[in-house]
Amino acid sequence: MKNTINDKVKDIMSIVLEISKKNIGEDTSVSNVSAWDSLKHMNLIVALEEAFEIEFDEDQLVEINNYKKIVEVISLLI
Amino acid sequence: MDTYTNILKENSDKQNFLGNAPIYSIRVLSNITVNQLKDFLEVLLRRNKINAHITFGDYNNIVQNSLNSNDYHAVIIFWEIINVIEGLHYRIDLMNKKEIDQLKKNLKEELKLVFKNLKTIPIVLFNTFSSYFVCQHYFPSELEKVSAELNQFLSNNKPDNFTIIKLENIFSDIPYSEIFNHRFFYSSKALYNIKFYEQYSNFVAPIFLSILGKTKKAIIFDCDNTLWKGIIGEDGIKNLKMSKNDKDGAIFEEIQYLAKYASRKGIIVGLCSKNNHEDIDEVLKNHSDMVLKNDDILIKKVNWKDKTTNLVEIASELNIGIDSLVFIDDSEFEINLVKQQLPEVKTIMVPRKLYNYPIVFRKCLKLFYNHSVSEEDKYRSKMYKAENERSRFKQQFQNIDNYLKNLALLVEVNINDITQIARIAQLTQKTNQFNLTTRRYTEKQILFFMEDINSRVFSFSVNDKFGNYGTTAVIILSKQNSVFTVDTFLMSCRIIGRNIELNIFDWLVAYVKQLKEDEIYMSYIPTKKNLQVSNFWDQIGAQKIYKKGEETIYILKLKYFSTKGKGYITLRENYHEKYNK
Repeated sequence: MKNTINDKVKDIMSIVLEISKKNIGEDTSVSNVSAWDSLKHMNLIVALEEAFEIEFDEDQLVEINNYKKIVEVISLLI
Repeated sequence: MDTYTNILKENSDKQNFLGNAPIYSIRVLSNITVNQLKDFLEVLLRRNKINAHITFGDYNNIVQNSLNSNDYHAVIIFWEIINVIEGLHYRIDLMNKKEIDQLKKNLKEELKLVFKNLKTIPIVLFNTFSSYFVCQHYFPSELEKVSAELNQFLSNNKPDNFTIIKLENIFSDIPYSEIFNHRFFYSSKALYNIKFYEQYSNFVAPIFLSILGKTKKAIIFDCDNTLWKGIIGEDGIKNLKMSKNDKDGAIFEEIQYLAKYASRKGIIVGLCSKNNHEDIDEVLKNHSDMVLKNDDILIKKVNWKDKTTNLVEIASELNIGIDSLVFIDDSEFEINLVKQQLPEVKTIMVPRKLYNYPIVFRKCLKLFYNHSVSEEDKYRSKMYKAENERSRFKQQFQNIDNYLKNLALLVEVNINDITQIARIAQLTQKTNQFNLTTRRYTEKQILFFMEDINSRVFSFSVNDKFGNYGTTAVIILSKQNSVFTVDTFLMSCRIIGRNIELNIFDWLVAYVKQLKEDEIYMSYIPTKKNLQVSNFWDQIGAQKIYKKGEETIYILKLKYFSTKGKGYITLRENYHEKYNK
């Protein structure tokens, strides 16, 4: 289960943020991906919510600014 | 529906695929955040081989940005009334009349500036002002009244290159809860959900396709269970249902009315059906419930051959690209076959839930959007019909020259004829085959050529014993670095194959000689569709001088030119030269 989430999140992040999937790891975050600005963050949220059929709450929207946290929050929601 | 992630992925793949193809640049100016529009609209245009690149102006800076948007092919404007002042949608109801009047006055001034700044862009899409975000009242709210007044101002004062997009037409396809993104509106001024961007893109894409000559031209129907309920071979002609006296028949009656109306508007309507020819003829002629008649149907392929072969023949007989066809059938097998073998053809499957058929069909008619609607559209179907009669006449003659001699061809030349602007712009937008440079122009740009002292626009209309083909050829001549250059030379496919181009070119040479010039430059720019004219300048006797990217530049020394026109074509000049040059 966790592995499929990991993989799906990486797929989506690589497409939305236009980075290579194999470069996405535990420490991938807003601070080290230059394309990850506020507009792209919005696109990422839309893509993740659609793909996992979930809705992040207000706090989570701010929290999920790195790969690790995204997987963690999604695991809670599904 | 494609997921958002799939759209992003497909769009990026398509971008790599289109690579260095010429860019079609679209600038979006807005007072809200609309960046998610980018991928939805780009992918629709890129699917049609248009290398669209969408960029955005600064947030909430429409007027200033309109000043420096001149280099774009197109501009789209999202001017949301609810955000012209932050919180206007709730503040307006407590504003007094003076404040509201001042607000309207300011906005009208700003609109005028934007009109002025963007009037040279080939096309500007301007969304209507809408209060739909807060439309919960029984009586018109202030916001609604202000929007209505501004929309009136917009339609009264907009320049010709502005096309108004009625947002309500797009909203009506989406449930209210899916149009607006309240979460992102309050946090980031991103007003709309992706569902809206998807629908918006579907709505406006045909406008760009039309301008770029990629509009659909013909709609080809299967017959059984597509134009009527029932199968001739099983139910018999008498039992076909296509009238409102029958529950399902009513749906097919509506479809036939829509198709007949489409044919009157110049859309080609054809049949492609596996049936006995005589049976279909019998239905068309004698079934009292048929709305579509022989006269409305331009081409019929009723036989037992496979549908892809028939569709290819249809495109070739009509002299239009296979990608100009829309095909409607009730059989999944046929639809998939065509999808697989002829992916350029737009296929539409009659919905299983029949009550959805009229909606699906009305949506399909949007693909035929025509940016410059000219008078001739109404007669187009009639003219194609005359073409079929000509084909029959042609079979009586063995030798093509003998055939042409008997046509009594007459070509009339008009110079800078402003009454023809709509038609000329439309020809530049639609003509793909006999088109040496395939440069697409709007009406504004054509007018600019006519007014410019250094250029001339020649339009040619053609007649023969079967009737008038109307304006079907265009040459734009423009002086660049003190030498006359043929910027555009195109002929509609309706008149190809009659050697008219030779007489037209002879005439052009004589015209330029009389201006005391001794050479003309011309060029050929290859596209997927204009291969048939790749040697045209060589045939004329022009010399290749160099290549600039894809473009090959030629020169013709007029003193070495020998005329090539045919004696059986008469050419007559009409003097409409309004601008004395």
